[in-house]
Amino acid sequence: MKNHYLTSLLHLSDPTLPIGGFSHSNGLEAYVQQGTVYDAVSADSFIRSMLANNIKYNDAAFVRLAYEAASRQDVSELIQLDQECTALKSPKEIRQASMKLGVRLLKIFNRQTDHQLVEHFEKAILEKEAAGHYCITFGLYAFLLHVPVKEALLAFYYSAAVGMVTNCVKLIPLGQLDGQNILFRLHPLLEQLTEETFDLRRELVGVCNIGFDIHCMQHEHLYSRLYMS
Amino acid sequence: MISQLSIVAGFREKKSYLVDAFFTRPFRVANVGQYKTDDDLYLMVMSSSPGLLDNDQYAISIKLEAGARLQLQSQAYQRLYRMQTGAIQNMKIMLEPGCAFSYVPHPVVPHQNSKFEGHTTIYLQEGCELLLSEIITCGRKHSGEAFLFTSFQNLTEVYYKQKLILKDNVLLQPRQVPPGTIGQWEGYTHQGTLVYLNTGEQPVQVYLEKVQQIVAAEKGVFFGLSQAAINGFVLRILGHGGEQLFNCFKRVQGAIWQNNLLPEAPVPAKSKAPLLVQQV
Repeated sequence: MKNHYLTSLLHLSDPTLPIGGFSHSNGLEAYVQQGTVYDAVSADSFIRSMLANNIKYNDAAFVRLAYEAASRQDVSELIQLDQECTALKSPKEIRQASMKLGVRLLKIFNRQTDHQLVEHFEKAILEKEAAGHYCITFGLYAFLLHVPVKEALLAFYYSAAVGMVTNCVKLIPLGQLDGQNILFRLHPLLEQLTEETFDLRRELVGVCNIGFDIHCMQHEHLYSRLYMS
Repeated sequence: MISQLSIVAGFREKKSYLVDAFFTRPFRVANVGQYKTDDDLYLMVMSSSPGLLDNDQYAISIKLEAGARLQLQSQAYQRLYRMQTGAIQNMKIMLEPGCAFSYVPHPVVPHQNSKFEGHTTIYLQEGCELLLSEIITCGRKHSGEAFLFTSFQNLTEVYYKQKLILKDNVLLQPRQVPPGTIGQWEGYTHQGTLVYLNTGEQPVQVYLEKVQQIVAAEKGVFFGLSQAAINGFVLRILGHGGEQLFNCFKRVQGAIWQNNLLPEAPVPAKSKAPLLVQQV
């Protein structure tokens, strides 16, 4: 069992890692305040659309690309992917959230082992060449911890889904069991999206979801806010 | 049909001017500057075709020499007709240091079964200003042709000194992702994005407030405005009318182009002493 990847993966994708994930709603708070997401059914639609139309083309796609760049020891590719993330995330709070989470994830893992690739990537962050986005750091460590890429993707989707379910339960609010029911029903979608991310064409990476973007931008101006995004 | 359009704008003795324009059918370029006192260059891209047809390929190249300020205008709505293979547009915009380029084209109307793939690449140097927008409609809504196009993709990439600083990848496939889905068009029929980037020293904070005011005055739209990763902002909007979004973007463009948003010099407050004297 020694050095088995599962423990590392559980650790890397743990939704309760102290990186601040719980303080971001990624636009959900704006949807709830405007009354668009208000019960278990609308919460389910929100989460499904977020996973299938946004995360698949954006963060999950970058996890895979970063993983592949790491497997080639290609640090300049990692930096370029990271710059692409910054360029794509047009709502300021979402961009900053992704950078904060990524840098904190890096801090948790980099003190345990030394990797040349991580050193170079960190240097680029210090020199402001890269920002250290969460999805890039996640993909990088998934490779370094010997996690197979599909398992890493599935865990990334699962972690994102848990985060959204938890936020829905708190914000709407929903019963704990309602939230868990949503999560159960998402299992097949998470597996399907993992496969689709693996086959996603490069030119489709970064597709914008205008409704999500607008809500995330409007969140900056909400009168009362529990979340940072 | 393969069509080409190439424009070079220059700058001499504090004036921007047209250095060279090369075009093939259906393009034409007209100088539409209105005032002798205005030193900037205003060009309109005219077209003898009402829109893009199947297998059309547009290759557009625009270059601004150091210091030039160019506002490009479109002539009319861009229609995308019924297609089998699809149409392609490639646009390359290069700005030398100290240039300003502003382009708010008319809305795009994708007809039933149209297929479009656009790619716009912009290169900025220091001290440049870029304002670029795009409005996409659901199609010929009043003829009952809403969201019947096959696919629309437009990729915009902005580089500053070889580094990617802004990327917008719009992909609309109404059959695969229904536009009413949460996170997409959410019941609206028109979408628009306006990007403003400034690689100079001037902070854009003052623009943000003004733009927020301009767009907030529109009725029946849903919008978000956020600071970009570099000095600048991205405005995204959903609405029900092409004309409304176009006019709104034009107002934003006008406000920024004329640079009249900088706070006026504070009027010195009158001291109380003379007032008292007057009262007496």
